[in-house]
Amino acid sequence: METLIDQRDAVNQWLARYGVRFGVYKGGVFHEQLFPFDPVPRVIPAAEWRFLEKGLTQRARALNEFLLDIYSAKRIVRDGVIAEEFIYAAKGYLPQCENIIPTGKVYNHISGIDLVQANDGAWVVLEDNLRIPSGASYPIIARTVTRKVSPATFEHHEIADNRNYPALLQLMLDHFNVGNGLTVIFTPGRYNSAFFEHSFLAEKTGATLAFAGDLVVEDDTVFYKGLFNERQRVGAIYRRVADEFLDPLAFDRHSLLGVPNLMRAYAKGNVAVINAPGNGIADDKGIGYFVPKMIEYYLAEKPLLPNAPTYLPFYPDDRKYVLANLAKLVVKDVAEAGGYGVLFGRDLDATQLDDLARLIAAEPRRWIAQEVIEFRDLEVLTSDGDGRGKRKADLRAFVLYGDEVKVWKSGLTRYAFHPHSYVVNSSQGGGFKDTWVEKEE
Amino acid sequence: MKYATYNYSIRVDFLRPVHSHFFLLRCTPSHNAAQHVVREKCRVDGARLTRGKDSFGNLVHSGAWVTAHDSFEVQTSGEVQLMNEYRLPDAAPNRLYLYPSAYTQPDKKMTQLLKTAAIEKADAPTVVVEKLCALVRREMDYAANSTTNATTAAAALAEGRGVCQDFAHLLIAWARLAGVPARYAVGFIEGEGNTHAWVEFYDANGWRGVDPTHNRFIDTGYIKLAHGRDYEDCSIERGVFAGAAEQKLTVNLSVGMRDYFLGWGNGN
Amino acid sequence: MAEPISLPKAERLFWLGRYTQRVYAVLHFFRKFRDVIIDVDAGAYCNFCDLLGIENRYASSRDFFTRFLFDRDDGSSLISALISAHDNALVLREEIKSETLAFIQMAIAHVDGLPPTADVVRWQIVGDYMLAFLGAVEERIRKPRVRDLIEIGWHLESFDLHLRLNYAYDRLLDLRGRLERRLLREPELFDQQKFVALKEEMALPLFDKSRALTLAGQLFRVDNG
Repeated sequence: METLIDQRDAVNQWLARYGVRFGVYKGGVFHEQLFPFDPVPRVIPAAEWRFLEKGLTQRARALNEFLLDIYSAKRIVRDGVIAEEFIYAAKGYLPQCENIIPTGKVYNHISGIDLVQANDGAWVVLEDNLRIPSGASYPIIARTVTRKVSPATFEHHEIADNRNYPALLQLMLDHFNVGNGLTVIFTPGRYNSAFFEHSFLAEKTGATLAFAGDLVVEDDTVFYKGLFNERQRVGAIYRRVADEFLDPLAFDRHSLLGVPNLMRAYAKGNVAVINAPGNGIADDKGIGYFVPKMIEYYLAEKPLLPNAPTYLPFYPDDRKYVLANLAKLVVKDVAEAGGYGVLFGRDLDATQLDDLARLIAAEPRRWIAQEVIEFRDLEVLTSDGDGRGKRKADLRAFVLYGDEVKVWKSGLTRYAFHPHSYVVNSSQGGGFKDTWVEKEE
Repeated sequence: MKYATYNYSIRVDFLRPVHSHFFLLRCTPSHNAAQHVVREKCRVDGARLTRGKDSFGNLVHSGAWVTAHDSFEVQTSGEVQLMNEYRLPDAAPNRLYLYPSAYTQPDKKMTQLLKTAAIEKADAPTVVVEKLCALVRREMDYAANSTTNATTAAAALAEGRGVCQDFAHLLIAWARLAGVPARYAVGFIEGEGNTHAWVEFYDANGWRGVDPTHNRFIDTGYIKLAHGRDYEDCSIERGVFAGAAEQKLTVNLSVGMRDYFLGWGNGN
Repeated sequence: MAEPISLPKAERLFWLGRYTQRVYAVLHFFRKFRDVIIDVDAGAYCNFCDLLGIENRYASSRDFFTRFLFDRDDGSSLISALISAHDNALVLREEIKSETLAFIQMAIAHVDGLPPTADVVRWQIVGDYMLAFLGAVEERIRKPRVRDLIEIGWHLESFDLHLRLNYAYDRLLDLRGRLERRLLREPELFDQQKFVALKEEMALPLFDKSRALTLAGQLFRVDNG
């Protein structure tokens, strides 16, 4: 590992060569910045991974059952496990998706599940991302580059190769492809924060990168428009366009990023849409609380991975606790994402706490509160002091749901920009690490 | 029992040709307990249509017209047998219809006015709706062209006037606040030059119709094309295209009601 | 069935070829003119602008030396051509491959690291990257049409620039020949009649240069209905 650290400059040159970037909007202006890479990997021992794999698979399966149920019979609501307010009043619930059964009955083909490891070693789930989770490309590139720069490192460490992600993805996309059509990765365009990843995954999977104008729906079938009016049938769309912009005739009518009547083609089963529209209901911050209950309800299994201890002010008991303990909790606005709308009680003064309490009391459904988890620091290289520092880090694990559920043996480890910060979102500064999963003995 | 025939057309003339025109239509009635569709036809010259159902169960036609054109006309016609009673059996209502939607988001004025409707806890849904209709009539004047398709219930109430769409949205918003599931319905009635909007509310094992614009419960005479949370779910014609934005819309509707069946050879 | 290429993608591939060639060739011409400016005529940059058909917005040869290289607000500058190449390449990654795109990324990163008054000698490697880019196109891209579109753009730009700069007739014929060999591989995408007209024009004893340039500029043609 020391050689890897010594080769830091060489690694960075390679990353620049790949153009590993993500876009951010600052003051309304689009910038692309390099995503800082820290060469010290997060290492997950084989036994620990085996457990994580089971827990993540279980979670992805339960979430899929939930989505199938919510867009049809809603047994889980009828049986009183989840209050209907959490469905019907949630932004992520899309009535336009009712009674559409996706090909192969899979909704969350790609889940990005964010976890942290507590000081005692226990893994805890922070949130599930079932809409268009991004970030898988970074560890692939990090590994590609570090193996180039320091091949010897990998002679001494038995690490599962993570460069197989595009192959796993391709296999999954092919599995759902309808009518042996073209597979496309559908991007909102180069000014999207994850455009780099869209084009990179297209390159590595051999899928066609499609922009809004490239796809048309005729006779409830999706076609890619080639030269000279050539039309090629599309069988699978790995879309990176958000639900609300996906089809201007079904959702936001002003969307210029979408494909008109895509939902008609999808409803008729003429094309696979990956991930399925409507998944937002399952990764709503208010719903995360119920995932362990879903596991018991749908799978009749004991949940393996716990949630971060969460309270829903919607329930009077929880509300009482939250209002009494606001100063030690972290409070999240369920309508926000990307590290926005997250408030740590300990960072607020008395007036701010009062204001927050009033907001919670006025609209309890809009908020969740969690205990602050003291999660493990990871070592990072810094440019000051002795060159080593500690940062909070999370892990986004990727679960692919094809003919079987597979957890990719790696993941995106993101660390916070500041030494004591708990916010690890890339849009809030910070960088990433490779995630090494040790091979089984 | 009545036999209703309808002839409806929507014509859009574009100042300059447009192309890559994609559209979704909800302009054909489908079968339900209150209406039996005897025959129906929908066409757009120049475009091929496909049929399907949306997630609310409404009949939709989708289509594409890729090449350049400077006009677009939807022609739809048919005959519907209307029952004497507007009642749609449903063992349990979709509880979605108890929650505010984009057009029916309540505001302070709405919640305050609701208190003046004198609704009692024991009131049956029909009584609640009757009182709410009276409230709508009290607060709203009918004024053609006073609002737009984008006007919400709250905005219309603030103005104190509106058209059938606004009356329906306001009644829906209030009914939902009062705990009665309510949904938006759109279709044809006799004697109007364009489509009409009304409300369906849930009352003991089924949906009943109420027309707040005419301040009456519905028995017969209403041909339904679509229902949903609000106007947004029930667009008769929704389209996107590339090209000039300037356009002229011409709508024609004729509805005939008879007490007898005309037979297959007539009409269209 | 061969994977289809959309019209916007075909256009980007073609312009990627043109812009990379422009960076490579204009860098070369720039150095030649710089010699003339030093040795013969301090105002020769005006001549350079005239021949290339770009707006002369420079106050002096000194101003020209830096702004023509580095001014991002000047659409005719070398950096603008490089950025245009990059803009096209960035959305073509899956077709041209990361390894090919990397040469343009590295060229941009190199120029970004230069002081804005740096001498053209510091641009040497940018020209090298453009040649490496073309090599990578030949080596890494598997779809013939993708390769052809870039190469046709590259050779068309080369022909166009040499024609503008009044290169010797046999040089022009050579460059036109390279272009022609590739055009013949993509007869549907290019206007063959315009090419015949270009040849006829150039066969005249005193051919009309501006007509030849116009015809060359009209070669790329896709009728998508």
